[in-house]
Amino acid sequence: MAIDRRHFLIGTAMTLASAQASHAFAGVLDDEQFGITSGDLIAACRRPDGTYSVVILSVDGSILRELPLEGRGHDIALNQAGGEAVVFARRPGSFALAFDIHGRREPVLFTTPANRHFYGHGTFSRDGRLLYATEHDNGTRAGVIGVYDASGGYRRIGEFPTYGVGPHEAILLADGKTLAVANGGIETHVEPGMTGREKLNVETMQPSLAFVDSSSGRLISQHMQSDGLHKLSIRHLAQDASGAIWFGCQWEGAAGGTPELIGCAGIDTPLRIIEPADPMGARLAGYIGSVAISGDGRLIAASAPRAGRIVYVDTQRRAIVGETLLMDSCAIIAASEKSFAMTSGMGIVQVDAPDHTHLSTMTFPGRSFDNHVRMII
Amino acid sequence: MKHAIARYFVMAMVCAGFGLFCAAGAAPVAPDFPEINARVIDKYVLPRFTALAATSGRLAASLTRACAGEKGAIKAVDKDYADTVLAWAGVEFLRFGPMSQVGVPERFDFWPDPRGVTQRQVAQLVAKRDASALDPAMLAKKSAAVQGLSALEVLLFDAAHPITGDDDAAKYRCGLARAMAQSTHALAQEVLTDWQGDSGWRQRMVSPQAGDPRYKSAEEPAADFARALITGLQMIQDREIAPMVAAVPSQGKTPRLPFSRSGLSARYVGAGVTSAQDLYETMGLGRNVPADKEWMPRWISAAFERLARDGPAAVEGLGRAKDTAERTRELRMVRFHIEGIRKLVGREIAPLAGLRIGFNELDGD
Repeated sequence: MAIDRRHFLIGTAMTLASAQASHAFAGVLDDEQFGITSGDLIAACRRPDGTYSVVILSVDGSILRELPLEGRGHDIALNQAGGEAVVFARRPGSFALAFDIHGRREPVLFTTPANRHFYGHGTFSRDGRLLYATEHDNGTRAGVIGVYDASGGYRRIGEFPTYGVGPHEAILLADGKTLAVANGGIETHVEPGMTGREKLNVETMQPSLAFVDSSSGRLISQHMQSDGLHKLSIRHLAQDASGAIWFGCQWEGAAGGTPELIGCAGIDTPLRIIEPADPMGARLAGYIGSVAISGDGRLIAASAPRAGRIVYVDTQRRAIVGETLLMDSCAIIAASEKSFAMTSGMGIVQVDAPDHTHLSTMTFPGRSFDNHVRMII
Repeated sequence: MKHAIARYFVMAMVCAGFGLFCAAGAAPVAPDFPEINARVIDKYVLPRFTALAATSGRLAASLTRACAGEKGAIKAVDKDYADTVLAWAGVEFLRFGPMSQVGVPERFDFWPDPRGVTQRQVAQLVAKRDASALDPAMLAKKSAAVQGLSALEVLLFDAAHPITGDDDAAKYRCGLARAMAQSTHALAQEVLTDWQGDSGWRQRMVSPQAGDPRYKSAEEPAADFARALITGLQMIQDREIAPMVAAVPSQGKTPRLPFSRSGLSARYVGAGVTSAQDLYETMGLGRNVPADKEWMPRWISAAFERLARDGPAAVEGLGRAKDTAERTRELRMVRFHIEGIRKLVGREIAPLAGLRIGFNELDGD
């Protein structure tokens, strides 16, 4: 059962699942004070007691709603118009939890078929009726997009290939029909004695960015990393106002040879890694954990949790224009035209602008926020 | 002042160069995590929760006397309340063990409270004269916002409605305050109990087992201690320093600080800093750093000393007319020392000790 702020305020001597108790005290509490509004955030996290959940929280430090998860979550697909969210298990988990952000309906827990697992990401169709999730085919070890009927209890109704191995984030482009899929290129496998996270093909991996027609599964175009960068795994995606798709990478090669990690491409435009005047790849510890586009569509924020940095890229100049230092920070999302909300594994929710304007910080002590965050608009 | 600014920038450059120090130096001696865990729990954690149980017990007793009309008891209430708040400041950021359980910290003190829930809900209880709230066991089942120290502060520090009045309303408020203190004391005792015994948190953290869902290795409790230290300092930054910084440009604006109604905000900041420093020193993380990093523990110790002095002073300076620029500089220095300690412990000292305290930085996606 969901734990929302109202239940939490009621006190904790009762069990969290005690609906009877919540009704008994509902009259004492003002539920309207904790309604979900525009600007609130949704994120998966580890709770102080070591269990996992997905929370809706406000930047003023209030947890507005909380739903326990059976394992560690990762990203959230958000159907803004329908008020529906789906949190995906972290790879190689196989569960996902769909819930109404206002708590008007019972959450729906659904899973992949037995020979598939999620990669932690997914996206809704524009009309909110379908959910596309990146998945692993444990038989062929290829990437697939699982298609789920959001209007029918999240029944899996089909799948199509991602045209690569180890897909991670998939986003629906502004045209409302094309999926951009980051094929990370890293082969994994789930079998007894393995965690499903072991990297099996680093020497031969071949990452790519694929553009797929979401209605037919047809491959529209695909860009491969160059041979010299075949260990540069493409993981996270965002589209800017001009239509370009920006990606953040993770380097699987030797630390001494860490290349730049952020680039852009288009359906008909090959991958292009930006080369700042001051090399950044090693300073970012070879690892981008999340990317997000600003509200005005002009700035990309890319988080580097291993370096405790978030860098900002001007998409028109293709230049780094600022950075924020935040230990163990990963999740990032636009908070306004030119500012970003970010969370960290140390329980921090912060709002910053690339010009070093620090707008707010709140700490949720003992809580560790996971790699991705979404904002309710 | 010129000297202070120069020092600020020198230290800023030092902090910016932390990364450069990572590459140099010999591998440190691996710490004895089981020994550290036992030491932290026995010499740092348990004495502080014992103190919280003792002060809250005295508070409940003095409130009982005050409600019975004993002359002079209200003076003892003020002192016992302050002692309890300061004892709480010493443990509030220790969100492991019993304090990791959902709602426990909030029942001790519901803060931050940006929507003013405590004031509103306590007022509702008083208006209704809800008799069930006078029973501490029943109160414990109500909203976290009507339990604990901030709720108690609403009742104890209301000059217009003293709890010592003879009318029924005052008697109800006194009874409610007594129930709040008794409930807080009972919670502190529960926390102490939860640390004890073969299946208690002390045993789980000192002797982790592979089958324990929370602590499987001795490194994990030690990482929790380091994480608590870092987030504890961040809480002081967010909840006390940042509101003061935000209030500086608006002359006359009073920042919303914890325990401002009782006038304890400055001492509360000081008690939190002192406890964080005690945790750092009890862990002994800075003992085995390589020679090229020996300046780090020295800098951290000096920064803690500065914070223990400057943090409370910043709160005490709130009511005094002061040059805005100077006040901004003072607050920035406080923030700088908090950030400096956090970064050195999180990025250097803890990793050097073999602690992995990150969540996203470890094996992300």
